Amino acid sequence: MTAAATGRDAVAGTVARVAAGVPGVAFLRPGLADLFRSSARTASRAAAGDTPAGVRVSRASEAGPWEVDVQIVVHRGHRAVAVARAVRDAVTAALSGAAPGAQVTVTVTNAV
Amino acid sequence: MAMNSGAELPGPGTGTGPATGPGSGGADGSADDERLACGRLLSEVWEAWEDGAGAPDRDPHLRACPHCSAAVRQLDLLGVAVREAGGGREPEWDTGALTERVMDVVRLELRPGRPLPLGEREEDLWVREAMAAKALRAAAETVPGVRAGSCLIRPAESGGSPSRGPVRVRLEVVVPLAPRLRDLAEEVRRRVHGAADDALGLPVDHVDVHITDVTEPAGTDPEHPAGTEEGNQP
Repeated sequence: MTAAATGRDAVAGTVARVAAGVPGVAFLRPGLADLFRSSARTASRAAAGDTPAGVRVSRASEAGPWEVDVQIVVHRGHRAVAVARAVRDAVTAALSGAAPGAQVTVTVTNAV
Repeated sequence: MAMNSGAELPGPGTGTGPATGPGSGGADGSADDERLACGRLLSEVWEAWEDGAGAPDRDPHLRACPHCSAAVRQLDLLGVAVREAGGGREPEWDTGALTERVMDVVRLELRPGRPLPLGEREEDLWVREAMAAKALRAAAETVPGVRAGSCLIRPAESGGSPSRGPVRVRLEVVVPLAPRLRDLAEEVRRRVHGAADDALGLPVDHVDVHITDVTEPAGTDPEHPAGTEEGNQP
């Protein structure tokens, strides 16, 4: 359980770092409501580590591929689908070593 | 596992009914999602912050309550993020404009709407309805004198959850009085279509433009009413 959580956090951290660096990405989805919704579960959050907002990582089984969900806010003036594709490609490439075959979903939630 | 619920995930295997699911922008349960441990709604706290209620004598609870003050701190962090995101292009941020941008992000956070497809059918890329609607309304308003109202974006075909097929847009507009309203509506439709493609990458099957009201074009020469001219895009 702890090892699995550690692996998940490592993947999530990589995803957050790579996604935030893609041109056209303003920031990851802030996840403000999530923050408060989960405040009652502070202990379990601490145990699971500080997963970055806008990134969700899961896997159906211990040996299954990672499912990565990235939610981004883009800069105005950038084509949303182009930024989303760039994020998907960058995240897929970054995970090719540690988590090959990861399924990456990208959602654009806003533009600023 | 200490997993999040994944309730808003648009990805495969989540959500049995996108039209009624908790992440689809329906009103069900959203109020509960926003309620802080002190009983206040997140949106109320943020609106109070927006209205400048930070002064202690106006609402002592906001300052004293750890939940509310934490919520306000998050807004400040978001303000920093938005300011940095706008850096370089708009260096002259005034407080009002920044607050408006921050609240814009907050509103879309609370009411993101359903996920809509971006790109090709086989891709796993999405845009939230609220953001897409905002972009399409703005495109409609590039036609001089046009004001956009409700903008609903729905899958044009049934099946799938959520659908990856092209969408149907239903946009309500108020337009200036013009001799040829049909041409004006056609121009709005053309720009909305263009923005869906150019700004988003959202596959659109059909755009319905509903003229809900007609206004006298303010400040224009009555001999030459605005509304049918090309151009004037920002």
